[in-house]
Amino acid sequence: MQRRKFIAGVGSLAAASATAIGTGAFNFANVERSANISVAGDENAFLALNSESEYTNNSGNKLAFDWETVAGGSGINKNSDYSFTGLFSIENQGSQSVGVWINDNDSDDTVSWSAVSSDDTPDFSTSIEGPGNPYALDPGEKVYVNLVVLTRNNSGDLPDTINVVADASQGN
Amino acid sequence: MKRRRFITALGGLTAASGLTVGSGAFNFANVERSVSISVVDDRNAFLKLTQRGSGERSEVDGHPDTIEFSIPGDDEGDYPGGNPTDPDGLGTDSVYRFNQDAAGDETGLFGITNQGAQPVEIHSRQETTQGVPEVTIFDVNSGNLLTEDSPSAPLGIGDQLVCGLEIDTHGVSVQTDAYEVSLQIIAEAPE
Repeated sequence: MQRRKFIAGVGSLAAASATAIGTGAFNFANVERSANISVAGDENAFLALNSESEYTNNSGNKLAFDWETVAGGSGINKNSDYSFTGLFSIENQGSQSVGVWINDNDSDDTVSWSAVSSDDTPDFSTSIEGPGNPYALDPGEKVYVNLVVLTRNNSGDLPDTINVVADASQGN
Repeated sequence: MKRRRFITALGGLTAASGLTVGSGAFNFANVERSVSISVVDDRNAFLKLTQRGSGERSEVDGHPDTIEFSIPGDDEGDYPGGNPTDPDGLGTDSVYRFNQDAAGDETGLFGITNQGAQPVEIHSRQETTQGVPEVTIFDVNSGNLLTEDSPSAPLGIGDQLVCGLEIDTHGVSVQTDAYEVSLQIIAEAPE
């Protein structure tokens, strides 16, 4: 191609001429480099999600809510209110402090997520739901998550998805 | 291509160069996980409720199946077999206990089984008791009423509590239609 010959020609010019581009200038570059990014299971990720109860598990790569107990339970009763302590934990395995919170897609606050510092604490007062309720975790720290489900006087929808979000601007 | 060779020569970069993100740091993450909570039949729930005995003072109905109580039972008029008594209801200003269904073929009116992951104490509560029958569950084996102030002993994982209903009709008027009362069956892990 004429263009390649032209560029090669420019590289070998000793002096400027009317057709010179200018020493060292280039108008296009495409540089390929390798980026090694590891994807790990939830227990080993930067933002780790650990099962802490019978109702969840880490048997796959993603924290899963199976809602099954050894005793044979598989769900909640109709028209019931339930609370669960220490369902799972969120752990900061990064190197800077982050604020973490949970978004869910329920309606009418059918469920609410709260934060506690140990796995068997029936305290539901510290919300960890929504960007307005970040829970700060320094590197290495973890927070346990409690859940309240209200379907007794509530016809709202249960969620099917949660998003666990971490943001360093909300950290300590 | 000649152009690529030219650029590589100009740059003088080594072949092993790689892109690195600051080690261990991340400043934002958004992880999506599915959570679906199932609403199941009472017999499959973490707080399993089962009806006991024939006579339909306790029965299972609906989608999902849930336990419900009728006193007298829907089949009360069939018992005792051969010489049924067919009562219309409870007397007023009285306290009754029902520790079995009309047929008397099983102990207890219903069962509560702990299918959760830790022991729980059981009691019942009724929001409104003014002018309506007051219903409280009791442990058929001990005879103890199970109230908020005096719940059951911790019920172990997999264990069942066999229960009956105590009904107080003091101040409750006689009427043709049945009173519809909402009974809350509560299980709470001791601290």
